[in-house]
Amino acid sequence: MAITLNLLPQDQIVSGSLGKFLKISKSLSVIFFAIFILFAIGMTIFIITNNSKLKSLTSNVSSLKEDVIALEVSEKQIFLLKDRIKKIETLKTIPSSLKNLAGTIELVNTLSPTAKVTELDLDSKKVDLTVNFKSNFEMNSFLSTVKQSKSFSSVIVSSFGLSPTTGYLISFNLLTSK
Amino acid sequence: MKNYQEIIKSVAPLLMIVLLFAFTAKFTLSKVSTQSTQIEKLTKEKVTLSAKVKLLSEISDTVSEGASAASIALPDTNYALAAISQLRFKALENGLTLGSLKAGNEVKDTSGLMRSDITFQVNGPKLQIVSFINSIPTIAPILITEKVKMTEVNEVTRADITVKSFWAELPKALPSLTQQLSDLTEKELVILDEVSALTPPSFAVNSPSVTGDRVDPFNQ
Repeated sequence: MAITLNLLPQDQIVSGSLGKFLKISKSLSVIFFAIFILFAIGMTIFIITNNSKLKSLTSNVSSLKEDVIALEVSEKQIFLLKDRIKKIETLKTIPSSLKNLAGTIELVNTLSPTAKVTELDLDSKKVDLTVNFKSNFEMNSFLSTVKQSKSFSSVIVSSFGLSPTTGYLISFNLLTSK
Repeated sequence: MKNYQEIIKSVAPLLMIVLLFAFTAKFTLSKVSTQSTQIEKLTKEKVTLSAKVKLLSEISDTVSEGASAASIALPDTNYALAAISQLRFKALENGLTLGSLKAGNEVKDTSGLMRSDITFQVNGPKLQIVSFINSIPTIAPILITEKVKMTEVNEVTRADITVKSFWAELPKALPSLTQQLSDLTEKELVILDEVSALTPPSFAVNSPSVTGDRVDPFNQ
């Protein structure tokens, strides 16, 4: 038969539920302390590792920055080139009157040799054209060509003159197709 | 009294450990968070810088020549004189001479670029004048033909032409060292090819400066 010995003085014995609570509390203290130690060691190792990684990265980045500075001439050239190209791209969106000139020359080339362009005034949006026709046939033929032209969205005959010596003098306002 | 002492003896270490744990956790986690942010930032910088160094090391002569050609096509100052010289050259090629040449005031165009309008007169056969006008887009600096007014008297055509000459300031500063730098895109290469094909003025040399302060490298 096992004998239970308790050598503590009777006045120091805590019994009952308080005793259990104190026992659990002591056990928890030991467990938490162990966890705390493990956590502290783990975090210290992690921080040291990160620190070393940071140092290595900082050194790499500094070295790369020096390399970039050494290649600054190339960087300037490519940066300048990209800047100019971007602005040239903007420049290319500015309308030119060349499209209208091409469309007008296409029309003028259909004129008969006796018909003469007396005035041509054009920009990127419209063309003012004055033609001198010797005959009614020339005029009708040109009008039908103008009507079929895809370069212009609208054609307005702004003035019409007839002289017995020079023939028909007609002014057109041609508006560019979008 | 005896019970209180026992309670304090048992619970106090637990409370101290919990407090110490909380304090240590707060400190270490904050430190780890700061380190992680720095590592992430430096890793990104490293990737960007590595790519930049690789790109800059492999940069070809095309970029150097391209930068020069693009600077002539769109200069950083008013290049009206060079433009006039180019126009004269093209007129001569077509057997024509320019007259009544005028360069207008420097104005800011709606595109954001600086502009000066050049007006001139040219006399001669119509076909040659048209050929001359069509050759304007082949010269550098880039000129936009704004207006053409032609009148024909006795088989001789007179043309009053207005062209727009442009320029734009150079960038004030290089981007930061760690800013990403990309290679030329397909679209940019196409524009570069077009620009390189333009006829430059015989005296125009406008290459980027090769030394100087990083803050304002193009304005020295």
